[in-house]
Amino acid sequence: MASSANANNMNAVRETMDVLLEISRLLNTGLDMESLSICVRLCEQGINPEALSSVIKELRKASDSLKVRTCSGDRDRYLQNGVNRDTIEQGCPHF
Amino acid sequence: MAALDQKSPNVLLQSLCCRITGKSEAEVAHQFQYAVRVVGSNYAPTIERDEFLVSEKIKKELLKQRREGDAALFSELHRKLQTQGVLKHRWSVLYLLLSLCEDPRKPSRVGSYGALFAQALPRDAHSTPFYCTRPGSLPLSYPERSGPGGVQISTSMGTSGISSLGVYSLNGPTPTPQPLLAGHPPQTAGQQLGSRLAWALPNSSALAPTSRAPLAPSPLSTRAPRPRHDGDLTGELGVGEAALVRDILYVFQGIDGKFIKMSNTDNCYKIDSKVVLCKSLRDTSNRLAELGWLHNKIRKYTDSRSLDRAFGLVGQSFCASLHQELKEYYRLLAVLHSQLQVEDDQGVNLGVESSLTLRRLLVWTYDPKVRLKTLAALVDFCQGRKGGELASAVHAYGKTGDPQMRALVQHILSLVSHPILNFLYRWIYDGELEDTYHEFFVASDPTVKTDRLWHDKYSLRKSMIPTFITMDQARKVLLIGKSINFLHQVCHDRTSPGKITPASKSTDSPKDAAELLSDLEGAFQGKIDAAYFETSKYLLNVLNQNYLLLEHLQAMRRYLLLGQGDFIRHLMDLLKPELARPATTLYQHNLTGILETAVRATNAQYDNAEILKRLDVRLLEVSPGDTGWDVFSLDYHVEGPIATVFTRECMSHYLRVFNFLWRAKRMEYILTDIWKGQMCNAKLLKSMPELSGVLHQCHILANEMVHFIHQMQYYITFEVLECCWDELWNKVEKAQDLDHIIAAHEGFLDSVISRCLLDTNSRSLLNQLRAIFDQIIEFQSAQDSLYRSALEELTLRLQYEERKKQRDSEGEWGVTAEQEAEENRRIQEFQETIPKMRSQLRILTHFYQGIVQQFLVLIMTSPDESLRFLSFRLDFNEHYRARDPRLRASLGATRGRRPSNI
Repeated sequence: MASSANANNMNAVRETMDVLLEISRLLNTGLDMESLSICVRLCEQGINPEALSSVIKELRKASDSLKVRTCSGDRDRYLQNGVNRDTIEQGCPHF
Repeated sequence: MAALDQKSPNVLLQSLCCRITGKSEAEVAHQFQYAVRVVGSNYAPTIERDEFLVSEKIKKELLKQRREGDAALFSELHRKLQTQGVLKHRWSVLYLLLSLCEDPRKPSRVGSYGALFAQALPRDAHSTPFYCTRPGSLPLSYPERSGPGGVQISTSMGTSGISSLGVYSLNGPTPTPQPLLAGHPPQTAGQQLGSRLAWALPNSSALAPTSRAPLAPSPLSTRAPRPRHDGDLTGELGVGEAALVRDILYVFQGIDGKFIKMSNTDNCYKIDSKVVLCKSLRDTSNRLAELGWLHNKIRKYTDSRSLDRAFGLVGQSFCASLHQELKEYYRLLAVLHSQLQVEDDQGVNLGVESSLTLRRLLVWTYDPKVRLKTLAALVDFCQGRKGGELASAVHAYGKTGDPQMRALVQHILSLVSHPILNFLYRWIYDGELEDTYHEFFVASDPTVKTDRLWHDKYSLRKSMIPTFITMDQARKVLLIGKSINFLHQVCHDRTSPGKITPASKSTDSPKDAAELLSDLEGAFQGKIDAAYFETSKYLLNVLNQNYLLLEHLQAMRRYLLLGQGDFIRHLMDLLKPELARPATTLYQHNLTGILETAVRATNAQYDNAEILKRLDVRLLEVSPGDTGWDVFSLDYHVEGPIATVFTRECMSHYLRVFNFLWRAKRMEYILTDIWKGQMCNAKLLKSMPELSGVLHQCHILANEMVHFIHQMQYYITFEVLECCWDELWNKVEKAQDLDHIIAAHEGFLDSVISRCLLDTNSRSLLNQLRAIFDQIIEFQSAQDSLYRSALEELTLRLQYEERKKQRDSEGEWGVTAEQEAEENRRIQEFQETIPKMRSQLRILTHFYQGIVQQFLVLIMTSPDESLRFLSFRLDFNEHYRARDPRLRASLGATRGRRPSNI
């Protein structure tokens, strides 16, 4: 009985995940199945979705900029110091 | 979930980091740290936990991207999700997905907002969590000016910019520096609302957006990042900028806002004095409020005009074009409003970059303001005008150097003049005038009947002639339509106008009107000219062939102006015994009979039957003491289209001239009779030598009179009639339309009348002439009585001689003494009457000569040259001049002299 319940559960879960994947595809979020499942789990645990989404965006951005920046040493240094070339150009205060 | 939910969030987070960045765990340590911090700090979300709201937002987002099918699909999936009931926090998952949502059509993003994150990162590294940073301290993102289009990082902004509007509204203006810089292809893909905003700003004009580079937002790019003060100081300075912006948006539509209200006394928008505002805000709001004032003005005009029933087609099209412009303006307002809406939805989180400020409004509404100003000025200028006047007013405004304004006004002009040109084409090609509101410049008078159609029915309404149509064109237009109507109604010629003029396509759309207006000199003029020539030619053809206009003209000359000499002569011969009777005893039918006889006996019989049947006798009004000669006149009946040329006034002129000519002819006739009598009786009365003096006198006087009349006839026939007729005929042959013929004809009659001394200036001359004629008649009667008594005497004497001879032959005394005495006595008596006759004749002669001298004096000083030459001919041997000192001045000297000087 437990196994059938489990099996049902598994089915339901799979279906749900499929639906969510579909939605995510519709919305063009760029999340693949595994990331999506991680996100879902995080949300189920009560994480603030706003925070989570900002994190994801930031991670993506960071990863893209990492790809762009060809100078190898600067990259890490920048990231550690949190100084972007742009901010230097802008003359904005940086920390 | 069953197998996995045991993992702690941290682990999950770490794996997520690895997954997304694609790096190993060690390398993402920093990111992981950051993620943990972010997630851990902000436990409570700032938005509502409303699944419905989120799903609606998603749908809206999908619809914004115009993916209705996908929206439906999503609803389906959502429903499924709800039924499955596996997830507990559906809303958070959906929210997450929504926030990660990206528009596939979105333009590749300028500006890596990584700058923001890069800054946020270190901040976070210190102490301020991301979401706790006040929006005010975040600098505005600056567009990435990387040369080669950069890597357009197509991620959304760091803010929870769920609604792409917030993002794109900033994105909107910012792409513009790119085209300015590197010829980067303008971001045409993905007309998001925000970018639409940028396009909409300069395109809030009715112009077809030809250039994609908006003009307005360049000032935006020079926006230096500035900290936002105003938004923060809501509490302290009374009214915040956001509230003002809201108010201004209402004011733009003409609705009173909370703080800014319409002040009717000053006719402007005023900020409530109770409101505390800093000066810059106050000034800016005042400047912006002007737009609302302009809008109100235009709106008031269109509203009031739409209620006005009698405004007419031109006015309606004007209002429609104004409406169109206002629509574009409203579109801009809608965009701005939606901006505001979005801000409301998102609350403060949206941050600085996307909100509306007064300065932004100022810049964005600059172009619309200029347009609205033009429109308001136009509205002012066009107050109270309609029809062609309105078109003229709009045209006047088109003469400006500013190309935008000119384009706008040209557009309105083409719409406004479209109905007028329609009227025009219908009038030219069909002759129809359907102008209920009196807007067209051709006016039709419905009370006029068909016989006066040509002259009176159609006229030009000068006020309604638009300024882009010249007076000459307007007259031609009037003439063309008039001709068509004339053909239809008076000549009963129903050929469709399509056959007359190959009708070119009329203005079907305002675009045609615009094309036409741009080429007024060429195409328009050509159209009108073509229609004019064809129609007039056709009309003249119809008149000449069907109605024999030219024949009638010639017939007038022949009959009424005594051109047909043999006919007139014969007529006069036949009428002489009739007309000698008093006028009251004359009957028209008798005279008509005589006329017929005359026609049949002379060359007149070969004339056209049409003409002959119009010839008739007319008896003028009878005054007491008139003989037939005074009341007799010929007449010529005209009707139908011919009556247009030979109007009633013309006919009365003709009759006057006929009268004059007839009288002159009669004098000629009388003198001929006198001469005949003289010739016959001279021989007979040779035996009475005592009469020779008297007879001599008679002969001299008669000769004088003959000479006079002869010269007058010469003058009338050759100098007046022939010359005028020649001129008329030339003009008629060269005439291009009916108006020319009518004008030429009237000119002809005028000159004939003035030179026949029949007009008011020559009244004295005419009186003299009449006096001369009367003298001639008197002379005739005097001569007649003279001859009668002389011939009587002659017969008596002859009888006496006869008897004497008879008696002689019978053998008696020729005459007895008393017979002889009786005879002698009788002869004595007779001879005593002779001096009386002589004196009578002398008086007559004297009187006659006096009148002629006066006549000569008057003629010599007349302004008409041919009359002066007539005086020369009349006095060729200076016979009169010798008698009258006034005439001694030579012809050269009298030129320019007043009679009083003589």
